[in-house]
Amino acid sequence: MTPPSPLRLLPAFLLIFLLMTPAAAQETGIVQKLYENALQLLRTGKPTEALKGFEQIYVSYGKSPQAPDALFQAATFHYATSELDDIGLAGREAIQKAVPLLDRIRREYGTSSRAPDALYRLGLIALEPENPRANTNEAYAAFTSVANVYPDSPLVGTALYGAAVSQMRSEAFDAAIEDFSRLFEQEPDFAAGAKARLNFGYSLFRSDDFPRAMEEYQKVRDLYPGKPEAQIALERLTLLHRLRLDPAAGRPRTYRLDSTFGGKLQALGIKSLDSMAMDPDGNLLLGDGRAGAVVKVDSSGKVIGTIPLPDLRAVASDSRGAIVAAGGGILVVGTRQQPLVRPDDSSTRPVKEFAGLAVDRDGRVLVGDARTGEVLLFGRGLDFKAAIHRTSSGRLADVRVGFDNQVYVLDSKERTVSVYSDGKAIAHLRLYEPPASVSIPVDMAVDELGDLYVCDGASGRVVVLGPSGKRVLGTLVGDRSKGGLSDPQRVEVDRQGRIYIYDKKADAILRYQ
Amino acid sequence: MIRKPMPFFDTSETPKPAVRWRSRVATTLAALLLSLMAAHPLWSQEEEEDLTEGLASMERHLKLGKELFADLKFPEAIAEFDQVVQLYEGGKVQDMGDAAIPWVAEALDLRARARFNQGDRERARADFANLLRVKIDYQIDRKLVSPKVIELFDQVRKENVGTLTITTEPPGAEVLLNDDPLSRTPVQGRPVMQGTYRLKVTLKGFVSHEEDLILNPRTELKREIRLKPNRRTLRLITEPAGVNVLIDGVLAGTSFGTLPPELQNTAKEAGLDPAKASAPLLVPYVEQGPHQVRFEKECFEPQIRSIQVALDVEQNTPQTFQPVLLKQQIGNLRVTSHPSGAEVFVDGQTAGTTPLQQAVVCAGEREVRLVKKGQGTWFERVRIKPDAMNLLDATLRPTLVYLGTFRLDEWGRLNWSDEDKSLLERMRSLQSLNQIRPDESLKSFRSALVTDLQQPAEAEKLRKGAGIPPGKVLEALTKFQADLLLAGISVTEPGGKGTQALYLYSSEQPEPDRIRLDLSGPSDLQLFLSRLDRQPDLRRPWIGAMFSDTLLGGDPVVVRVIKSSPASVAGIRIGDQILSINGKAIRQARALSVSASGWKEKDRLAIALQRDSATQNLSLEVGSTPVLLPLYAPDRLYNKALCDYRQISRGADEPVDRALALVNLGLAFMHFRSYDKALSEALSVVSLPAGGGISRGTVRYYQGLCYLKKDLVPEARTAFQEAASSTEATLDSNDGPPVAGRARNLLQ
Repeated sequence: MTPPSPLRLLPAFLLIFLLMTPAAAQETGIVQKLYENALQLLRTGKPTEALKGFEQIYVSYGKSPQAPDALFQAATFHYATSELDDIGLAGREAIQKAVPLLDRIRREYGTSSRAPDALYRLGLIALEPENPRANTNEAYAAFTSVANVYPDSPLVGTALYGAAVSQMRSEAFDAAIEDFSRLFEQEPDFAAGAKARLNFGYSLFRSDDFPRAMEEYQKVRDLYPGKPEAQIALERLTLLHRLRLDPAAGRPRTYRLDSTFGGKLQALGIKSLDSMAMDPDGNLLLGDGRAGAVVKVDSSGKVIGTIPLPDLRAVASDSRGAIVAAGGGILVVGTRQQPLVRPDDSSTRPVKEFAGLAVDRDGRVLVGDARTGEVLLFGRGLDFKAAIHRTSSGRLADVRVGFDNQVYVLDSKERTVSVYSDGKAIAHLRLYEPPASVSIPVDMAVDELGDLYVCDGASGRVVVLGPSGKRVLGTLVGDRSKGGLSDPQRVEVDRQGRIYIYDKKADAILRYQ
Repeated sequence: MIRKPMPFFDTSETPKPAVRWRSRVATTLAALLLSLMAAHPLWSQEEEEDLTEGLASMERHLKLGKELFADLKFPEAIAEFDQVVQLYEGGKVQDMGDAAIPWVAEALDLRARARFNQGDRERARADFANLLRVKIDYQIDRKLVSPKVIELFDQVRKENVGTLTITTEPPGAEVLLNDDPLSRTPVQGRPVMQGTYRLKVTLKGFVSHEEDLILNPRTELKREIRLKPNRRTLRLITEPAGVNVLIDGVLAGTSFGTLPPELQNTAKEAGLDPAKASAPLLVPYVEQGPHQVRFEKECFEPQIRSIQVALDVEQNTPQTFQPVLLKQQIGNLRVTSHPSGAEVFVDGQTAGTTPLQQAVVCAGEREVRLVKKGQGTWFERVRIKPDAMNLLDATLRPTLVYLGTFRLDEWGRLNWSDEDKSLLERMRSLQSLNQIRPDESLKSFRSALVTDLQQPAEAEKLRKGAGIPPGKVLEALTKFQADLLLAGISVTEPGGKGTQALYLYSSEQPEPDRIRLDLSGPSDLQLFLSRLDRQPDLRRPWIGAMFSDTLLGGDPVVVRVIKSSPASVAGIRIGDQILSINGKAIRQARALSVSASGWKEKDRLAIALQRDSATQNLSLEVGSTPVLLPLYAPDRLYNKALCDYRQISRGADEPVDRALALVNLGLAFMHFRSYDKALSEALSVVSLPAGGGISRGTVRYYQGLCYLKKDLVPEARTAFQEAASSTEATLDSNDGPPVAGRARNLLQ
């Protein structure tokens, strides 16, 4: 009998080795396999099965290294947003599904590599408009935890930015300045540095430090000369130059008619101008109700497009440049449209008379219902959310959204502007009181820095007010040599502070700078 | 091991007891086993033990044989002596040198006598002959041994031994017979067994002499040999003495002594000063032909001579060359230092104190060291130019010791790695640090460190990024008198992925700066070294006005003017539009930044600006603003900053500079969360006046932050209150963010 060769004995040795291998090691292998299978299912478009796979891991193998990964994959399947700019895309249900999963990573797997990402996503969720528990303080806490608890995480920069933005949304601009300072100190090469510096500049401006705001905007130009933010910075610098720097230097702002802008309605082919808006590229959107069209006019006064929209009553633009229009009981956003109705307790009724139309930063649409005196809020999906403003004795004249997402509601009868932030009233400006002393406010515009441009139909002037409404930054009375403005009806302002006025008597849009 | 039997031993008739067969088998088996084992080097120790055993066995058999011989039991005694002879014959004990020879000689002597007593005269004769082969000068005991035996012994000697006499010119040559060394010449009447021999006579510097000899018994063979030289001795004289002489690059000797009187004229004729010239240096054994001779001595200009060496077959006298004069090379050294008052050492010798107006030092590369006790050091190898004033202006700087880079592989093994070659190469260019040069002491520290860190627990900590244990860091910093310690750690994870990081420690606090980088990546290394070599900032050029672009008017507009700044003093106001500076039109605000424009402190700028539609011309002198270290900047190495600012705080000439260095020192401590040290060693001892820019309010703000971190709320509140009321105080620089706002935020 020949002795067994070592090769023949190999399976036996392996068996012995496997029997001696700790159970934990075997389990790790199984869980890894489960995790890879679930990922594969997700990639091949079988999310239900994939989610079940992930659930099996974090429920049955909660102590495995793959558990936080599985939780994170499931959470980000529901809530895919990873950038501050994409806030507003997620629905309520998705948010509600993601939150407990992310929260579990935060609580139970604090040392895993997924923990900072989970915290960061919780911060984003806390800023989501569809989140019923949205809370800027919670967002701030989550973002700062990423930076403080996980200082080596690659998310530190974005988290610090998120923290600063959370402070801005809470109107805590002094605190936002601190966070922006920390961000630029710790992450000088932060990828979204240009955008962050624009926000830093705005926070400085809102902290009444416009010189340093200008310095910060100039840094955007110096550090990111080829980026779109450099142009935005230049426009804001120009705005600040007009309305802050010149007055501070003892030179009150005076406006001159810009004769290079040809704004005769007839020349533009407009029969009746019902509404006026500005898109992000600086083009005027003119709503012609009689012709049933939106006419797009560039900054030189040239018509660059006409979009037919029957029964048009109001026009606006969202932050991405999509045209938003309302009229004839229909709401149109880009290529989407649906009946514009206001659900009551018992029934729904169409909205047909408009007093302003605006879109906020998160893509939600605000409609001024002239008949009821309400400002109606519609979500990104154009579903009715709430009436954020109601007047019984007044007359709604216009609705605008400022750069920082504040909603301005003009009441021409009460001669007031109500200011809302996150659905809450934060200010009520009495236009009839000095220093504004507006008699009949017929329209209003808001510039990139939150300054208000109120068109006074009675006195034929446009009064420029600071965001608080307590300071007049300038007054536009038109070209006095030609008798000034005759019958100003609509006002709009572009990003560099040039004012567009529709003078009914002149039947023209006049641009002043 | 049993070797081939030596041919002159006759053992064929030696009685063999029956028991020996078994023992022979056992021995053979043992020998076989041993021969197998011998193939493996690990078994050499067992082989050694076997040799020792052979000697012991010889001794035992000899002792037993002698006892049996004394009891007149000759056959038994012969058997024991046979064992001794066999063991020797086996060859192994011969490997032990001469230790076995007296025993085997005695065994042969006694066996011959035993055989003589048994009447076996012929075999006794053979034993005596063998005895003389083993030990030719063996002396038989003439008092105790029978005269007949002595007669036989003497007869055997006469029949086998001749004598050999060899003399050489020169004497002292080594004589070898059949390649076995015999003696050095002269060899006089040396008894040698008859036979044929190969004679070889060798002496260094001479051609070897070889010939065959036939030596007959009872005769004396004589040889007188004159050896032929094949090398030559050189005789060299230098001025001064103490010159190293290198022949073809190899050090052949160093001249010394003073010139003897008989050579003084020769030296004088060669232009040397006999009083300073050396004694002749004899360099022996130089091959004939061309050679290059270099004469060198510290502080003297080296000389090179090409020489031709010829043999002197007849006389073999030294070959003499023209004496060599070396010209002294010295330079003057003037040293200033920051701070001044540092003691200057050149090659370890004290040369004075800075400012050192003039010190005469040897030219060439010199180790110059400046030491100011309690304030710092500066050291470097400096090339001193001869016959010139060498100026050295040094700023005392921190000392860095670079330990090297560890590599922790995927199996947990730790070793020093050569992944840092590129780093080492580039580190030579560092300007702001003294660098400890690697020596034996550093090598031994590194070895000990690797041994310590190889412990699994320590290796695991390294893998997790813990760096070098604090105790070891402190030990190294103390041992090498360094302020900074740099070490690299390269970790390979299972699967092959790896990370590399450098750890920079300081003597100020235990936390390292950890820099993840690719040690083979030139850009990573360059970036790291530029950070390491960054000079500490206390001030930068400054005009105190900020500008921005705008779409109104086209020219950059002034958006801020700092009170009492150069811009303010020049009359610049906010809202002014800058048209040109020094005649150059300005189109963009970027061109007005001090860093972009390259303006230096005290530069004068002619500024044309537009104000209220009128053009104005102003003159501005560029000033400077203090600058503070950011608390968290990824491009800073805070341990380096700690050492730099510590140095400045100790030695700055201006009190303001000392104060600014202290504030920065405090900020560097704050970076590492060393709030106690930030307060006690920096912020609480600094004194800045109240006012605008970096001032008392700035310091109070940072004190408040430290108190807050230490949970000393009342102290923090007091500090923040004062900072909040310092309306013009700033952070970062004189145009930095205002302190007051931040302090108010914290108070809230």
